[in-house]
Amino acid sequence: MARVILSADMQRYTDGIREITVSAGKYRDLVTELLQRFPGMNEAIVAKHALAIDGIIIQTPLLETFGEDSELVFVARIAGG
Amino acid sequence: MNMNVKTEFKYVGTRPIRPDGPDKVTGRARYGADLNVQGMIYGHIVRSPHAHAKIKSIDFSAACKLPGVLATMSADDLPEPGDRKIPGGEVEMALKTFSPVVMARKKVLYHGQAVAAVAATSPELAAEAARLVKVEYEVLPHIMDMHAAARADAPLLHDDVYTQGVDPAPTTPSNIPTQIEISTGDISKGFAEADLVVERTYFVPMCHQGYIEPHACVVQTDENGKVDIWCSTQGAFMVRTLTAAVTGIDIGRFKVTASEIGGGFGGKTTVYLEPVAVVLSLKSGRPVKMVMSRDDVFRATGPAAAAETRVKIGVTRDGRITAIETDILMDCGAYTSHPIMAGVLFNSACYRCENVRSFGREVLTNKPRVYAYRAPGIPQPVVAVECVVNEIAERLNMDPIDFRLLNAVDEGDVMAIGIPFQAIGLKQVLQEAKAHPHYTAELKAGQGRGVAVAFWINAGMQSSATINVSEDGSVNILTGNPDIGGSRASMALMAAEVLGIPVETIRPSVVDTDSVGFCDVTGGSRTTLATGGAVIKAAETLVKELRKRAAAIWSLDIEEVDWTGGMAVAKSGTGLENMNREDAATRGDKTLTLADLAARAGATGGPLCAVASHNAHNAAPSFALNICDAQVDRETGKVDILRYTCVQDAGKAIHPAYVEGQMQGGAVQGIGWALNEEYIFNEQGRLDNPGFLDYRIPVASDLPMIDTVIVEVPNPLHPYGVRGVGEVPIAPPMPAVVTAVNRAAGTRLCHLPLSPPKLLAAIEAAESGTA
Repeated sequence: MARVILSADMQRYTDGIREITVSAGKYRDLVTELLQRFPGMNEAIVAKHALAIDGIIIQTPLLETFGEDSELVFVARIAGG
Repeated sequence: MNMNVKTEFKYVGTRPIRPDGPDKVTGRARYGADLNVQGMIYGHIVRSPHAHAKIKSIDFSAACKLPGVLATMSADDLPEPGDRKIPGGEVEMALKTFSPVVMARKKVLYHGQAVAAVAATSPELAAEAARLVKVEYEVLPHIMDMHAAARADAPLLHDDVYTQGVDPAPTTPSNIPTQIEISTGDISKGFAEADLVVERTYFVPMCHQGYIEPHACVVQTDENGKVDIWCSTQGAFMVRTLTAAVTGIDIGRFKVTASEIGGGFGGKTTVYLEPVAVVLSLKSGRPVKMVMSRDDVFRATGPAAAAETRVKIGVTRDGRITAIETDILMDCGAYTSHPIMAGVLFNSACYRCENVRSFGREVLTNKPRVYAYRAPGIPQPVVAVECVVNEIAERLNMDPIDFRLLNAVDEGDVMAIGIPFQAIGLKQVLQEAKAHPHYTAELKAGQGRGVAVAFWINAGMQSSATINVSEDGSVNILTGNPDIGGSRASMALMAAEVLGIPVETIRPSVVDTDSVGFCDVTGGSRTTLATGGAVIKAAETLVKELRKRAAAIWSLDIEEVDWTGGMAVAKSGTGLENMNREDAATRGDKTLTLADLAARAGATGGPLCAVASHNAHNAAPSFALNICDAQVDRETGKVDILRYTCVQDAGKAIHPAYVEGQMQGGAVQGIGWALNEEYIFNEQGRLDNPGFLDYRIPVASDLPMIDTVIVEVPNPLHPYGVRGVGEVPIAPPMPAVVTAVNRAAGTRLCHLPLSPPKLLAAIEAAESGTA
């Protein structure tokens, strides 16, 4: 089960739950699992975030896969200058 | 996902003369305002004289009576933005937060906001016509103070802004578009474990990026609907995307060419003039040039946010940080671009701490919409964190670098947002700084020293590159990223490394949006990493093709052919011992140079070219440290920076001189922000210092030579170990300078800038015992 840390913004839809584990191995399945577990969340909220997979931040993770031991972190997208 | 990172280089890491240098020093280089085309007319913006007002009517009739006035426009010529989101330079943006910055719709929210525009046959006539445009306003109360704006009873700038990030979702609008909080551990427990807790509040003012070249563009449209834009920008593709969105014109009709750019620093990652010039060109049927004055640049483009940060840090008596709490209030001007995110997420990212709480709110005021400026959102809270860290080290009687070494994050440590660090160079940076002669140099009475460190996350994103080989074997690289900090030279060096040919034989070019694949903006410290990554990929593709062509000539399998030293070599061929000879006749019959293969390209499959595109997911963070020595004139309050040293982990420095330039430039900008730079608004909400006479940026004579030390801890995710370079240098200067100045003056000023009047008053207060 991959470990997922949800952003501060996403925690508003999870009753404050910051960390969960998921059975998904693909980003798309991860989104589906999140929306099923937290009905208040929607795709637009998830899509606002980048996803860090094992420490590597991916701005557009649509096709990403990850392992059972992966650590996933949803993080707000950051603009540079 | 760590990869084999190359560590031995022939060309990367050298310092060739920049390919664009001669053009720039001789004046041949063409900037935004340098293009002139047949039949061109000139646009001029009508700007709001009020900080907050309803636009009741706009009457162009008097302006249109002037002979030579050929077009007018207002927001009525642009589509309603609605709730549309569009991809911006780096993050998704709401069209309604920047379409009105191009041209106000129904209301003006800051002095100098664009309200209308005219185009005429000369700049003078356009300016005269703009003065004749009659705009009727209903003046509304303006609000300039962010604390006042944050209050529930404050006059509203927008009636449809509801604070995001609050539960339950608010039912009434406010001037606070965003609230964000992150936390890890138990902050109360962390402070309970502390032997010493220091809490301070620091204010950093709104300031401008101070790029020397004002915004400028030339737009040409034709009867087929084609729209050509020439402009000064950090991203031609970004201009295409945003201008299409603001004007409602299909993106496929645009071709955007980025001129040379005289500085951007994040401020040119959006559009201001381009959509206006497009509409004026379409309406007049003529090419339109628009150039901002310096006054326009200050009043109507996007400065960096002002912010107030309260920071509270707890430590044990042996110097271990037990808790860090920050609370940021950030003044975003009239529309949000969400600069607070990075400030909340990363303000204490340099430190290992189990208990962190970081809270932030953005506030809207009747000031220009703030926009990106190097490491957006980070320098403001870092001032507070780093100054308090220095104070704590002093109170614990610890060396400030030793204190930081004790608490510095390293590989495997986890940020407060939950992301673990890969290989990083913070400790190496700290050790290099401690070993630098500057750090132990003696200070005289009345002088002070400050140090500070900072972090920036860096970005990857999308880039493309094309490599073409000419018939003589010379190589042309095409990319779509405007060259701000020396990217052309860096691209050439990386291509030279892969191709094994002298860097001087490679000509790198920045081309228009029709001539290369999509590239995100030059910003976010991403270009060398991401566009350079595309160049490496394209060069590797080209090498494979060259091996294939040589194999075909020799009737060999491609696996029997190597590419080494800039030539194809048959692994089993004769003459390998001579392969480095310049004379082809003595090299043996189983070597083929790039020129040899280029000459036979037609016979072996056609022109030699390679294209690559990618979305770089391999960015890695950077850390920087600054050491500042300052002296304060106690009679005038003037500060002299006596000595200044920057240390930064750049990953592999592709062109070290450019890395040093980025470090020095960031230091100079941060010194200016610390000592003098600030937007000063009067009671009418008008900016009182919209020019370089009254808005004081440092010049060369103000500063010592800034020493640099590049630390090269390779990014384990990049084939050459590249990290980003350009963002993080802006973050440590302010706290380093503030600490040095306060120590020199015997003050504890927390309200920037430390300008002479403020410093003098603090010195006098300290001397009279009233501080």
